Amino acid sequence: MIGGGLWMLAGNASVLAWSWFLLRRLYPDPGPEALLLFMLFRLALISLAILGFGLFGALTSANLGAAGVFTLALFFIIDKPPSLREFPWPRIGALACLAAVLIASRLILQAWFFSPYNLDVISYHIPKVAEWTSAGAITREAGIDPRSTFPAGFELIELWWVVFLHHDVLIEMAGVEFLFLSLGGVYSLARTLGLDERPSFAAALLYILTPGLHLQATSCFNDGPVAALVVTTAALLAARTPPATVILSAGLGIGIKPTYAFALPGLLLLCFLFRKEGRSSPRRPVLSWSVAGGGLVLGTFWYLRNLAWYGNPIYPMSLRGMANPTGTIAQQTGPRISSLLSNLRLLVDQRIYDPIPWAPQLDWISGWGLAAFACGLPALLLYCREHDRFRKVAAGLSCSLGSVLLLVTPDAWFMRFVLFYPSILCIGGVMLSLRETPIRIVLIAAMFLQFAGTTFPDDLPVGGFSFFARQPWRERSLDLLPWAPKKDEPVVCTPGASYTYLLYRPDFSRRVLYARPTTPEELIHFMDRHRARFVQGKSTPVLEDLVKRGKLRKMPGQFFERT
Amino acid sequence: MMPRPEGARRATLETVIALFFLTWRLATYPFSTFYRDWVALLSLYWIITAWGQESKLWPWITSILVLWLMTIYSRNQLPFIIDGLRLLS
Repeated sequence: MIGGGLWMLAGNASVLAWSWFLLRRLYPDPGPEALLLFMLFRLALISLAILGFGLFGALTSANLGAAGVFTLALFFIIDKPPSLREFPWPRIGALACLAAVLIASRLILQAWFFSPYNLDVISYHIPKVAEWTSAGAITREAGIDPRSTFPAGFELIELWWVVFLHHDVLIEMAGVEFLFLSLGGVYSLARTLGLDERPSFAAALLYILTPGLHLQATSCFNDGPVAALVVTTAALLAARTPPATVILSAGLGIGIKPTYAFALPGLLLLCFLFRKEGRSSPRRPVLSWSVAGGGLVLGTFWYLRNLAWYGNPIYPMSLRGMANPTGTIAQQTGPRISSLLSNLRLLVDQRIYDPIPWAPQLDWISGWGLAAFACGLPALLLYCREHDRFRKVAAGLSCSLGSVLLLVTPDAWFMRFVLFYPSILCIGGVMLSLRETPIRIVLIAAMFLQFAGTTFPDDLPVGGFSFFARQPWRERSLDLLPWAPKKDEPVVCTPGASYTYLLYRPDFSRRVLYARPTTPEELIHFMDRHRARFVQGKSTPVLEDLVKRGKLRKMPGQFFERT
Repeated sequence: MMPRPEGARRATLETVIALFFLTWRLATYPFSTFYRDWVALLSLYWIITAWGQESKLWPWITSILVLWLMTIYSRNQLPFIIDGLRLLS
């Protein structure tokens, strides 16, 4: 573990150094978007490194760490050591600095103490992280759930935080990275709208305290990162940064989830509305277009992989959408006016009030929070009337809001896909608070309440935070399985197996195998070949047949034991 | 203070749009829920802003609206926040 920690330090030092290198070489005078570009380069470099090492089957702590040491040495040969003083830090004042440190410290504590607990996350988001960490490679196997084949751009960052320690204790740090990206995005956007450094940073802090976004950061969901990248792209377009960075941001977003692409109409509108403002040009076109190339790779890789393997870039979605086990369409493909109208109605009449407690899955709520509602909505109205640039950004993001709502099915959790929108509400709220003192008081109160209310997500398992905190960190895990085989027993997962991530254990010490048998004999043969005694899966005809013939015995939960 | 003629034209147009929203909300929901409907409240505020943003009362109206919206939102969420923080003890 100590060795892994050292490799992790080396890897992170190298990525930070090279992000600094790209920032300085490409944009020697980046202005307020410096923090944003730096974070963007960091996330892109990590994604490309994990993708490269994963595809070559070299995804181990030692390999990544050694590469980190080597590339760090290379950096020092070709460049001078980075200096914190050279970085264009915003002058934000002691109070904002204290607030930022407080929020960051709590996020680190949350990442440390929480273990993945959301049922969607442990069923189909992160089993691939466990599988690829165990395999030391990005393999074809990503889990038994059909949705495991969705794009895995966010999982690349999660792998970064998992591979070095070969443990998932820091997996939530991936979401925290994207939360800081959104901090940089809103800061840059607010500066473009003419706000000074302090109010811009206040707006950025307010946005990262948006309950839905903040809780998503430490729960391994990928909608928060998508929102961060929509805000990032909007900020880069409004600041008229060169196209390469916009392509990089868009590539990262599309590579995480197709819902990023749903927001593109609004981002294109934003690009059109800001077209007359001067654009800064990068100094090194070759390096700049390499950055854009990186974005293209990250944005297209998962879709090309699905096209090659399944003949469908958006597999398992089809042109009809994606049906759930009961046959109804769980998610639509393509636009539907009826969805737009239903989603808008639900947002306006119900979700925006957040009628139930804040939780990262955003069931029945918007998660936009008090500040966006009480200060942001009146501010949106006022500044759309009187502030030209604000109107343009609001128009772009509202168009994105509309296009996303047009393309997603009205369900309990569709608000997860529009977490980018409170960014403009937070900026507006801060602008309004600069005019009226009582509103400033409301905004500060809202910040405190949102900070307090995002300490523990409402959907933590029974026992809440203490359930996780009581466990030693090496063993910390959601104890959801009513029964599980001994730690070193391999388990075969068959279709219908749920919560498969938990089987791996936090240190990925258990061997988990996946089988999709069409006959009982096929499964028995598979189990014998891999010397596995246990199966987890839904009671399918194959398993029932083996139970009837006495070759498998039913165990608690979804487990079966070889007799 | 009344807006100037070109401002009056714009204020009239904004009022028509705000009235459209107001009518929609009043036609869809009972009048008794008006006080806690953010769309209706903002529509009303829009009309006031279009005609009276220069007025001395306008900052007060804005502050009262923000405080009222905070109250509407907190009525739902504040008990949950307090309840959630009990986990700390």
